[in-house]
Amino acid sequence: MIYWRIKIYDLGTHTIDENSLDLSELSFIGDGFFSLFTRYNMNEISFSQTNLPILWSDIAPIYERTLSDDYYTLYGSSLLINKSDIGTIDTVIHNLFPSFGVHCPNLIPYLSNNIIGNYTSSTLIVIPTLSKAFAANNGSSNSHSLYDVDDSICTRVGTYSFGSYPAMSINSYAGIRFQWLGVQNYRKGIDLSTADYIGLDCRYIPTGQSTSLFYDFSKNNVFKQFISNFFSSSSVPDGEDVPGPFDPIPPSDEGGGNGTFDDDSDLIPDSSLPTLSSANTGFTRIYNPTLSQVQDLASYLWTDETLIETLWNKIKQYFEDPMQAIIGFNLVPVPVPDAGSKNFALMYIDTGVSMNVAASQFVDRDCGILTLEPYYGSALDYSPYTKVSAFLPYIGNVQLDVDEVMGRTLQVKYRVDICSGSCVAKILVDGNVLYQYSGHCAIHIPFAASDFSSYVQAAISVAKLGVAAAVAAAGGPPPVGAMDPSQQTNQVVTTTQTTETARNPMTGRQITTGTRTTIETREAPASQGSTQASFSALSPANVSNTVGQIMSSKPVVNHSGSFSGNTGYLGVRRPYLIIERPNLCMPQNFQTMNGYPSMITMELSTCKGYTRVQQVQLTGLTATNPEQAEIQELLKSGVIF
Amino acid sequence: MFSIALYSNTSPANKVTKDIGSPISTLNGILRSGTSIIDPVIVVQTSADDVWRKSMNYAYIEAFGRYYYITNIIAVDGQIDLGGAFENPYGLWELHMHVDVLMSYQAEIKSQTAIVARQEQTFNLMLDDGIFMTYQNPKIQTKLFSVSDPFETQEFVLIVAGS
Repeated sequence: MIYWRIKIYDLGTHTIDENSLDLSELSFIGDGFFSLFTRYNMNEISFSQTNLPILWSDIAPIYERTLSDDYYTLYGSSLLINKSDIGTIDTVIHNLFPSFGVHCPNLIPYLSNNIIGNYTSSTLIVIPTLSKAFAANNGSSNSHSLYDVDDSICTRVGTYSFGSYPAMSINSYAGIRFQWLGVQNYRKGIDLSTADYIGLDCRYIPTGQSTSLFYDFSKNNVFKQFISNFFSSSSVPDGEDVPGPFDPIPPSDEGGGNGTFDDDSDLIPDSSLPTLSSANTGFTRIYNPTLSQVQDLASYLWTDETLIETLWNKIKQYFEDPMQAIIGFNLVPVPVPDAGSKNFALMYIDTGVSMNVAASQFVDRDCGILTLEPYYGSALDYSPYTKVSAFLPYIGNVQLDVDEVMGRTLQVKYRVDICSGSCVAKILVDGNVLYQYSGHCAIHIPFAASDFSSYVQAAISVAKLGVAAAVAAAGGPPPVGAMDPSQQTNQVVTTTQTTETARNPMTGRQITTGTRTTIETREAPASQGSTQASFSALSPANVSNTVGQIMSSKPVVNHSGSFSGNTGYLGVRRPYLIIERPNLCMPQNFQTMNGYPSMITMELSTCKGYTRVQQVQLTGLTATNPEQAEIQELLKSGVIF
Repeated sequence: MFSIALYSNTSPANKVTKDIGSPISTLNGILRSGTSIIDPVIVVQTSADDVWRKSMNYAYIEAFGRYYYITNIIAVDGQIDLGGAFENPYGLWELHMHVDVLMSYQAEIKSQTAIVARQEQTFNLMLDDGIFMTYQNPKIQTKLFSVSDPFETQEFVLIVAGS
């Protein structure tokens, strides 16, 4: 057993200043002892006391056969202060423990004032192993009673007094009843690490003088550690320390709670349209011909009205191949910014066809807004229950995070490069650019045989990707080599476009014979894995009908494959959302039998109808302990007010 | 005087304040043997009308200051005569009861402050405690963005080298 005591000063006059307390003065001495009160969470008090056997030594010769050494094991106990004693409580204690009607989970059920009948006890010590209870100051200041304890019945078997020696008046402040409730298996002391106050009551037995010190341990952590060392030690009455299996591990400590709760968020703005483009460089010119102008140009290139004109053109074309000058010929789905008209010239050959010239290579297109209103106005409107996907023309279907978009206004904007056909779709959520996807929206119009072969090749590639995506989405195995790389996770897709050239045998100049697109797919490092949301969380072990399980067990089906370029032009060209909501099953009068989720702290008198309590600490109840337990159980299982 | 007021309770067991109306009958006497106040078992000598024929299922014992559910009524020394009729010659009935803690301590319970997990009228539906059930067929909705023809334009773009 560990006995812990404090050195006693001249208690009659000396006051220990907590701030100047010298820990070296704490020691083990002969006939002193002290008691320790701890407060937890303003409404729970625990008590422990040193070395009670010293007190008992005077009467031990009389009752040693009855009480035996088991009494000496009572070095951990609990303290209960009755609410009715508030008016007489010492001011210091009252300030420290303002919430009375104390709830002590360690109380033994039959320990209450009632068991000692009309006698008022300042101290009640129970020894469960002996079925005995000892009531000190039981009715008067020096009258002590011993009881046989049998379940809920206490039978007084004797009354004793100890002369003028106030042995058992310890900790009995005027008018306060401190019940010391022995706990049979209490061997490890009280964990002081979670108590925010400790009251220390020092006594010197021979004279009964005392002083009380109440420490705020937030001011004196060293002393707290000192005391905690004793209480956290594991010991047995014969003095052998029993090391705990986790002793080398330092005890848990306080932490956390230092968040800033800063909810401010920066708006992510859209970028401005680039002001520089290939249209301004002088190396290229971007024309925006009408259909008739295109036909005129074709007519110029491939037919002539007269033989002489044909010969002249062929002579000019012999020296320079005008097709070399055509870099690209696209059909785009956006209006091209106009910079006036100009005669179309190939190399130094003026075709005589007047065409509009594009002012810029880049074009913005606004697809409008859409406000996504909550449907249920509840958690069901959010993930994982509701799913939202967006179809973006020339890109395909993309999954949106419903938590990000619910209750907000979405806007879709495109930025198109009319030269390459590349486009970027941006989804703005309340003005924030949260999603960006790239695609291709131009149809490359073949104007030579080599162009047509690359045109067909590109179309076949896109078709393969689309088929693979559809097969994968339907759950079937994708054909080898035909899987849509963009639909796979944890892969990096590299697209390479190679320009194939050859020498003109007549002029010796290098000409473009076509382009070749290759797509390379390789495994990406884990850190570059796809972050696509997945809702497929079906587990055979938990299949049931709750909303979360249903919505998370649904398969994810892509509504489109990969749309790009030519195929995108043939599909739907307006963005839209697909919203999948749970279909709520709401029986009539559901709330009267189940209530709705609340998690609000409130006085139960304000509750009307069905109420299920998550947690309550019953205070001020006069019910017996089993009755209080039943009340707790009923409140937690649901009652009707 | 030890009295037991008998009621007919039609309220659900989990209702705190039960609708029991006025006592249907009141038994007065002396408590002759010890009994638990939580699960009292009390033998009374009276007629069947006074203890069970009038749908009494609830009681209040003033001396104990508690309301009780009547959990069982046992006819002491009852017998069936040859004609098939039931007789309880001494009129002794053993009433088994269990305390109704909700009704007995309703005022103290209502004064408690608690964290309420579910409530009929004060709730926050943004909480998800897994109680809601859904049908297997979800609601599917499609919504178009506001601009009706963002890509209905068809324009040629011809890019050539040279200025």
